[in-house]
Amino acid sequence: MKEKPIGLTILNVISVILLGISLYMSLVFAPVEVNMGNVQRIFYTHVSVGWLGMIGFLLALVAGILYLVTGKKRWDIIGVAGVEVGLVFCFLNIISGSVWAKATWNTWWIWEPRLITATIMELIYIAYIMLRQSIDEPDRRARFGAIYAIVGFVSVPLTFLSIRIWNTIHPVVIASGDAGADTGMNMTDNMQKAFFFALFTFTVIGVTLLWHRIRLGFLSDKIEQLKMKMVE
Amino acid sequence: MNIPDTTDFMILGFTVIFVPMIIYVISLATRYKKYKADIIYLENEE
Repeated sequence: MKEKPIGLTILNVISVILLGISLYMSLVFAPVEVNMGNVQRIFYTHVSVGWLGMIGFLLALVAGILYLVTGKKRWDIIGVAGVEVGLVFCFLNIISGSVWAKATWNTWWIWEPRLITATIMELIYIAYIMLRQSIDEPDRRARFGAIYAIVGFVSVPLTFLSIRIWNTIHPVVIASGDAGADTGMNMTDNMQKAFFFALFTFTVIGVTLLWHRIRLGFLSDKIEQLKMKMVE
Repeated sequence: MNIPDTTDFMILGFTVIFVPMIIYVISLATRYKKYKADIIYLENEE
């Protein structure tokens, strides 16, 4: 594998700079929310990490389809990268949401539709990683991973839409005028700027991390091939 | 209007996001180094 591409080095630097600016916008630029106080400032990052998690799972879906169509190993490697990054960031979304819940609802956890569907989604993709590891034969493992990623993706739109489908106390950030949601979030101009900047920042961070994880996947694949060659 | 003081929760919220994120980035770097070393070892063994 080639040494680190210059594009990846540039993305690393851009990610760090964007993260710094995004934190400044969340902590200083955006005004304090009068009903929730400072805890509302984690909202910008909380939503963004959830968004990044879902991008990871979407990538796994696309890679799964492309693997089944082309049979090329690279799509399997990309799919695993998508699931791993998705899992990490959805986990961050859930635990930061729990901190928010404690501050605003006075409970760390509540069994409401968004939290239930997000947890189920997380468990589905944890199972993906565990089940993959139990399959030794590379082609079978890749085929299984592709089909699982396609079927498992059903949980992603369900999680996203859960606060619109069912009555819930979870705030609806985008299109808060939707029926079915009890609580909307009215953001000021500066809050919206901080929010969309954080979404952009974490999208860039996501691309950077996915690129790193895909490179890791190719290395892992090479190790597997070398080991198989030695056994033969 | 009294704004509730939820600064502690804000700090906790950012901590639970950024500490695991940093750990994940470190794990990517560590695995990369390990895999590189494994490849060199296996290629020499061939």
